[in-house]
Amino acid sequence: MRPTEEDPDLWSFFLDEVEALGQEMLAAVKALAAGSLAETAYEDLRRGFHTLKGGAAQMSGCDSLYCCSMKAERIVQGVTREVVFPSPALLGLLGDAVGASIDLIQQARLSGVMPAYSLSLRERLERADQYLVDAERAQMCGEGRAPFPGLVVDGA
Amino acid sequence: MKILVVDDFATMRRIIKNLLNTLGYEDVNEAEDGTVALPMLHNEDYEFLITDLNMPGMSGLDLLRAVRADSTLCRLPVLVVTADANREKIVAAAKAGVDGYMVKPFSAAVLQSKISAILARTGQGPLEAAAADKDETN
Repeated sequence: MRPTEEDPDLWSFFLDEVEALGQEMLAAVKALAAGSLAETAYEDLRRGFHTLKGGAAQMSGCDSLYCCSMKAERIVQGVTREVVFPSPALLGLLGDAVGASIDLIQQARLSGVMPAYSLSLRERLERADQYLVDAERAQMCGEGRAPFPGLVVDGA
Repeated sequence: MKILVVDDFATMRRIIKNLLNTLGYEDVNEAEDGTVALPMLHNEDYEFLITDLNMPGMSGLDLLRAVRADSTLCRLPVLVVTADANREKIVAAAKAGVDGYMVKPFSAAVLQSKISAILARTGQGPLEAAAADKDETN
């Protein structure tokens, strides 16, 4: 049985809660970009993506939100695990992932169905994830914390 | 059976509460994190704790450690809920004395099987009662 079958109000309750969370995360990304939050705020951002992922996993029909937030959480973990230094490129990517999540939530509210998220964002997140895997492997071989240059997500 | 559900995500608390109600567990309360949950556990007679691991403030792991370190709560059955089967987290929870874990998404059937298995293992469940009945009749 779908969660919404036994509780018809659950869908709107869920969308309200994840949209509010998404707006908080967007504000945090902007504050990090402006330098007004400490690096410890990345842990809050990671927890936010984790919560979006967990909620989307349990609700039916939220696969795109699940995939987007799961990939974004892995990118933030690159900073929280001190694999890469945060950078404007990384924050830009995270901001795009939060923005896309909010769009998905808003479209789901309008149409009752959550659409897919953009292929280009998915590709950028996957490129970043691959870069982080390589950087983590290099770290295990004795290299230090790596930069996160714009080239990683611009596809060059 | 009186159950406390701890999760910072209200939707998840509501889903778990709905599932528990479907399974016939009506006495279910909620807390948004470990700091709210711990005094509730002290002040009321909860028989089962279901907690998320990933919470701000006092995490599920910290709550579990606090429960196991407390002589009045240490035998409370604890089931943790997690969004991913991260080996490090599950091992940490096992070391801290968790009784079982469940990865999202999960169904009412999975939730019931986890609860039943934990209660049977901790000597508080229907399987134990059935075994005791069987012993008496033999």
